[in-house]
Amino acid sequence: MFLHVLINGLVLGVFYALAALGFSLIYSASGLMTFVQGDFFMLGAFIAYTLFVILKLPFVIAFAVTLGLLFVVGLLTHKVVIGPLLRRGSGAIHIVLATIGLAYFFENFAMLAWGTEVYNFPSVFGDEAIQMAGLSIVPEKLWVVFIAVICMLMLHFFMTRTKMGTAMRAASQNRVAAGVLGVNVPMTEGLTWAIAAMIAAVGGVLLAPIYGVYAMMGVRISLKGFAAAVVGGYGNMYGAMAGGILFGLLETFSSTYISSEFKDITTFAALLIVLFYLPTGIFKSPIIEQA
Amino acid sequence: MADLQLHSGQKNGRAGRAAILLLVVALFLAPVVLHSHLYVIFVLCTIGIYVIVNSGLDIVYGYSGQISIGQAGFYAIGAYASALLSVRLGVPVLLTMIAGALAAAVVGIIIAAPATRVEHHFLALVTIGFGEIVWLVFQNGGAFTGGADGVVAIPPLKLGSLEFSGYRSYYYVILVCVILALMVKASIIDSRIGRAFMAIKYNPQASAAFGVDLVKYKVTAFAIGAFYAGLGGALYAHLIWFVSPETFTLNQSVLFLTMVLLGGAGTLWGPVIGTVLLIVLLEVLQGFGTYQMAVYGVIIMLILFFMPKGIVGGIEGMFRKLKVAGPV
Repeated sequence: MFLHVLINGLVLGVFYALAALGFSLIYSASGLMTFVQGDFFMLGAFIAYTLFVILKLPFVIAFAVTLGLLFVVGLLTHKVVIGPLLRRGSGAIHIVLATIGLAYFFENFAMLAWGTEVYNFPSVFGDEAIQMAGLSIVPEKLWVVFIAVICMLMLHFFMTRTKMGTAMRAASQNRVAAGVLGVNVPMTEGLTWAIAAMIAAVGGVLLAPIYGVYAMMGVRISLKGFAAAVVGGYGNMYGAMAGGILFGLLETFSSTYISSEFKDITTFAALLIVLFYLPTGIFKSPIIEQA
Repeated sequence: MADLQLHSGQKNGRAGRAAILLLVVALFLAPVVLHSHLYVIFVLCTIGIYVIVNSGLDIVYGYSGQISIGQAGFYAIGAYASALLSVRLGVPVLLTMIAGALAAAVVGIIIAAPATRVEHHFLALVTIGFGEIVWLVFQNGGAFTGGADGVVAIPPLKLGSLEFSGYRSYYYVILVCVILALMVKASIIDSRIGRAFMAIKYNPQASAAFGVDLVKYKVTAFAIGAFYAGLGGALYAHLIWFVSPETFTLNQSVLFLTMVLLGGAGTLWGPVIGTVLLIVLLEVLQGFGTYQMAVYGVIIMLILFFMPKGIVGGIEGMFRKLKVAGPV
């Protein structure tokens, strides 16, 4: 029982972690808060659904094309909406509202393009439970955790070992100094949005077989992922991962052992407690100055 | 400082006062003129309630500079407190409305006391988390709160032998509340408290150095904002006679904030204008059917692009430019 709950908590946790990573990257790159992350999840899931289920493309190709498209969507979000707003001197609250407006737009777009139903996404890695070390485990869930961890590792290596990643980190620490040293700051910021959207798409595609595909699928994930990013230490990549896993475990354990009705309340209560008493989050992120 | 003078020195001239008087008379005559258009009167009632809620939000966001995306939480507390007290305990409706507004204000103080430590994004997040907790508590409150079905058969307001059970009569109750709410807001803004709010907004460090108690005034702003929202919620409950948790989600808080920003935050008339325009717009958008949300989303973005200071803020900016450009 305990181990089952633990696995379910981890699976939910990696989704929150993937959402949290997007929030955290965008915050560290530009000090901005976004609400459109959940809809990148949803768009990723729907595009993958179209390619894989309707057009019957092989999963790997559908997955790759989806990631590519979401990369472009993220880039465009920065280019068309966020960047111009920032150049007009919009405040933090304006950007928040703009992303909410964008989220409404994407959700409505999805309803018009794909409909309002919940679509089944067939299991990619098998949903028949297999026996492993005395536990019955659904392979799909193991794969989800595995792929999510691979993505996080790739992100880690991209950010720390490549020139582009280093430039992105430099720009997030000090945009003026990075600009002087030849980093194209608007480009790194656009790239951050693109990568955040791509990570969300990974989450959306992995989420689809487990919870189904529908226009509002990103809303809850997004809010919880955002909470996880803050609890982990807003702007800190590793904090986002830890915060996501923590929230997944918290939610699964509290709904199993306390009450399933109060799982969402527990999550938000944990968020408030952390914000009030540990405002820098679990992983303190020294590079972020509270703007 | 120009902003400060502009806000505190908002004395209406004779023409302004005449215009307001005319507006009030027109609003009092509206149900008579629109007698057969019951739906229009209902929309006017909704506008009145939202004007109260948004004027309160404007004190928190527009005047004291604290981002709140949880106004629907206070709105919900006012609505549910008044509904539950009248339905479950049989308390007279006028008292339940006052209790609803006070309950929201008390919760506002409780949440604001620790929340004053966090700023900007983090405050936004605290208020979002608060708003989510409130509606989830009502949603999962079991038989007492009615769960997802909400509270039904809420009685209308009764004052002595007068029963405000129709939209036309209840309209006057809301109208009186709106006028009182705006008058109270105007006098708060023009008082020592209002100036402290603005000082905190424009330069918290300097105002603290000059002896402004930041925590006290931030909490006060939240309490006033919550009181307004609670009053609006209570008025809403006895207008619709039914409350359910999904009315009070994050979307509702976003709608409130959008209205304030559209009209112009930090002004007396901005939230009024924003509320009227956005409600009329949403009514018109009903005609767009399935496109409604997309159009609404695009409109939010257009406001941010072309009118970041709202309609009233934009007009004030134009006047200031004229003054600057004029002979020195």
